[in-house]
Amino acid sequence: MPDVLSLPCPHCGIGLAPAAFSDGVAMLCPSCRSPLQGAVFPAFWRDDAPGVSRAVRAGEAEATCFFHPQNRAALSCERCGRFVCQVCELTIGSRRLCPACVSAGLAGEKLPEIVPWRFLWADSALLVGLVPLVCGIFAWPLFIVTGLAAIFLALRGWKRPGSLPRGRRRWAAVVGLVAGVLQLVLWAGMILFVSGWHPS
Amino acid sequence: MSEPAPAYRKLPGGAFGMGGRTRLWLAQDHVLEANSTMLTERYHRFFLRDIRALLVLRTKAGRVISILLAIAGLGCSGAAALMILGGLRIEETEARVGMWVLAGMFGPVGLVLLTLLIINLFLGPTCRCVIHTGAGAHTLQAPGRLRGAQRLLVELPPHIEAAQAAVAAEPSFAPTR
Repeated sequence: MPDVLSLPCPHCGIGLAPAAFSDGVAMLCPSCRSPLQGAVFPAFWRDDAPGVSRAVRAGEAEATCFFHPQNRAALSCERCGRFVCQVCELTIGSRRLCPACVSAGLAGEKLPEIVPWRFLWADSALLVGLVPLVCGIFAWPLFIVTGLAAIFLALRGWKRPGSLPRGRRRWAAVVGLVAGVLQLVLWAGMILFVSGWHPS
Repeated sequence: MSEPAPAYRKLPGGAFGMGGRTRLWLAQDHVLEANSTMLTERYHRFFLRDIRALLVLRTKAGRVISILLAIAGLGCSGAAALMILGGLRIEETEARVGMWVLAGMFGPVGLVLLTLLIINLFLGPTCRCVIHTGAGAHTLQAPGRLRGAQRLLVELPPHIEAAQAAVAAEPSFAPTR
C-alpha cells in the first residue's frame, strides 16, 4: 500500500482523502478551496512495491533461461519465444519480453509500445508545402527551397511509420507533394517572368 | 519489419499550448498522451493497470484569459470607433485619412481579440488534469478544458477498472513447462 493513504491536491499539495472522490462529484479542497473532481482506482490500494526478482536455480531436465543457463526459465518471450528467467523478464505494455527484443525494439523503433517520439513526415510535407503558398506570391524566391523540401519529405516519409495513434496520413503527404510541385512551377514561372521571357 | 501499432481510440478533450497540440488516446492496455508540434510527436504512456487516480482541478486561467481578451478587444475596438467618429469631425483631409488608417489598424485587431474571447467563453472553464501512477503524479497537457475533462472522467474509469480487475485475477507469473 502507499505510505500515506491520501492524494495530494494538485494546487496546494495537501493530502486529500481518496474516499472523497468515490462518487465522482466535484468537491472543494479543504485547504485552498480549489474545485476538484476525480476518480480513484483499485491500483491505489494495491501493494505493488518493487520487490527483488529472484531467479530460481534450474534443476535436472528443467528448461533454462537463454541468457542465464543456470536459472530456471520462468516464461517465454512473447516476441521471439526464448525462455527467460525472472531476472530477464521485462514487461512492456501487456507483453513480457526478453532483454534482446526490447533492445532491438528500442534501436529500430520496432516496438510501438516503447516509441518515445516520431517525426511526422507527412505533416511536415503538408506544412512546408502549404505555408509558403498561403504566405503569398511575395515568398516566391523561397519556393525553390520549400518546394523541393516538401517533395523530399513527402517521398521520404511515404513508407516510414507516421503518427502512432493517427497512422501514416498519406493524404497529407499527397497534398504536400502537390503543393511542392506547384511551388516549383510557380518559381520557374516567376523566374521566366522576371527575366523577360515571353512564349512568342 | 516493424510490428503493427496498437489500435487507438480518441479520448475526449484536446488542448493547444505553447508546446503544440496534445490529445489523449486509448489503446487496449494504456492511455497515450500525444503531443504534436506538426513536425514531431512525443508520447507518454500510462498503463491502465498502473493508474491509481485521476484528478481534475478547475483553474482560473480561462477566466483570466477572458478578462485580458475583453480588455484588449474592447480597448482596440473602442479606439477604432473613436477614431472613425473623430475623423468625421476633422475637416482637414490628411488628418482625417490618418485617423481612418489608424482605425483600420485597431479595428481588425479588436475584432480578432473579441472573436478569440467568444471562442474562449464557448470552450468553457479551464482545468488541470493530474494522473497518479506508481511512478508518481504527472500533469496531463490535455484535456485543457473542464468540459472535456468531465467527459474523460466518465469515459475512462470503466476501462481502467476492467484492466485492473483483470490484473488482480491473473497469476503473477505464468510458468512455462
